Amino acid sequence: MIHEELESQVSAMLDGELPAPECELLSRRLARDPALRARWSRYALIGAAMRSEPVAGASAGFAGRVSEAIARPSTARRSTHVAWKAMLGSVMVAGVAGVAVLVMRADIGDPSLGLEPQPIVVASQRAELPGRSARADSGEPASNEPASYVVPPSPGKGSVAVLPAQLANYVLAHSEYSSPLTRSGLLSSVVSNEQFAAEVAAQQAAAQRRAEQQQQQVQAAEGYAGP
Amino acid sequence: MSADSSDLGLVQRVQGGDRAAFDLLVLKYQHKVVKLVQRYVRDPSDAEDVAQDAFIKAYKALPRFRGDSAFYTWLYRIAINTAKNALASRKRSPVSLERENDHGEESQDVVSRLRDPETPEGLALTEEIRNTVNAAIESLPHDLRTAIVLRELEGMSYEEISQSMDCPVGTVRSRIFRAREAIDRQLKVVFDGGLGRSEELQ
Repeated sequence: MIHEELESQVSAMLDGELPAPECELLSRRLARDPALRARWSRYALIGAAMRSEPVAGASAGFAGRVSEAIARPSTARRSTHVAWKAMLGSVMVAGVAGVAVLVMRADIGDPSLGLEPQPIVVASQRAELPGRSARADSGEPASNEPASYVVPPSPGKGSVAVLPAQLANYVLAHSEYSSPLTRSGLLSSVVSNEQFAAEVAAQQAAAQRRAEQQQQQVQAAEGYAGP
Repeated sequence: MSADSSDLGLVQRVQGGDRAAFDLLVLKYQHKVVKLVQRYVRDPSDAEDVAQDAFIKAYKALPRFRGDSAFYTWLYRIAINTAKNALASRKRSPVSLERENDHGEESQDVVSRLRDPETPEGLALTEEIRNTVNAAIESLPHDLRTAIVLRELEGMSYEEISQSMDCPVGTVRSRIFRAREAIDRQLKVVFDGGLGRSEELQ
């Protein structure tokens, strides 16, 4: 008889017709009475079947799994999809952090990363020696005109590599008046870009040849046959 | 109290900290939600995962539920959004495809087919339940049948049914309960007959 009253209460509670105090007591009873919970489910199923609603969607134990998942800590109840999203997010964060570190290290010119310190800025700011490079490449004799050095325009802020470029160009422009050893040491210390260094070396060689030609012309004019 | 607002008491209990009350809402709407999700996620196992996520989201969001709409209407929206998000992430993720391949195992396949209402097995289960319920209703005494039909199909409150049937509310409550008991006895025969439903129903 007591059980039948409980079942009657389950029916009324399902319809939202059970007074609040009874509802509270029955809710506690339902939490610890699987048979009563099963009755609740079957009553709900009857209504669903009458309304032609789905009656066989969820598998056995579905509600229990939901209950367990809710009871678990939030970190442990993540589904596969959520965990996958979280992993993807972590990878993206790590990637961004890695790029940030690379950029920062490149800014300070860390040679261990194989990144040249702002090579583009160096190339764009590198002063050309007018009438020299092309002729040096083509093997034409150098002009008698003195080599002119064009100071590159100030690039504004953020151009750390301009100073080495200017210095390198300055050394080149005055290479006729410096010893090869000093010139080479100075250039190697200010030029870190290998490609740029190769170009500088080529220009340096051309300047050297011009200096030697000029010296030979002077000696020929003075009738000096040499040793 | 109408059918739409009949969950309000349980919702308020959950909002008051009674997690067991939410279990009752899950038991009540589990089939509906899983079937709803299956419109988007066809695989029954995946659909249950998504439905579970939807219920968990609903539970976490329930403190903010103000009852402006019926609980199921609110739950319906959460389930739809969860299913759509799962579908979108499934298109991006190879994990779901691998999981689909896992279902090639025979034992899991049988379970999946039984759960899936679109398969012959699933349809048979659904049809057997519906036929049993309908047959039981037909065999009910007139007063009991009227009371349960007004409640379940018309969504009338006990007070409205009492006015319609010209009887006290207590009588309405008793008639609806006895109608359910009679139908339930027939339904238990189906479940005990080996359809493999769950301990949740037995």
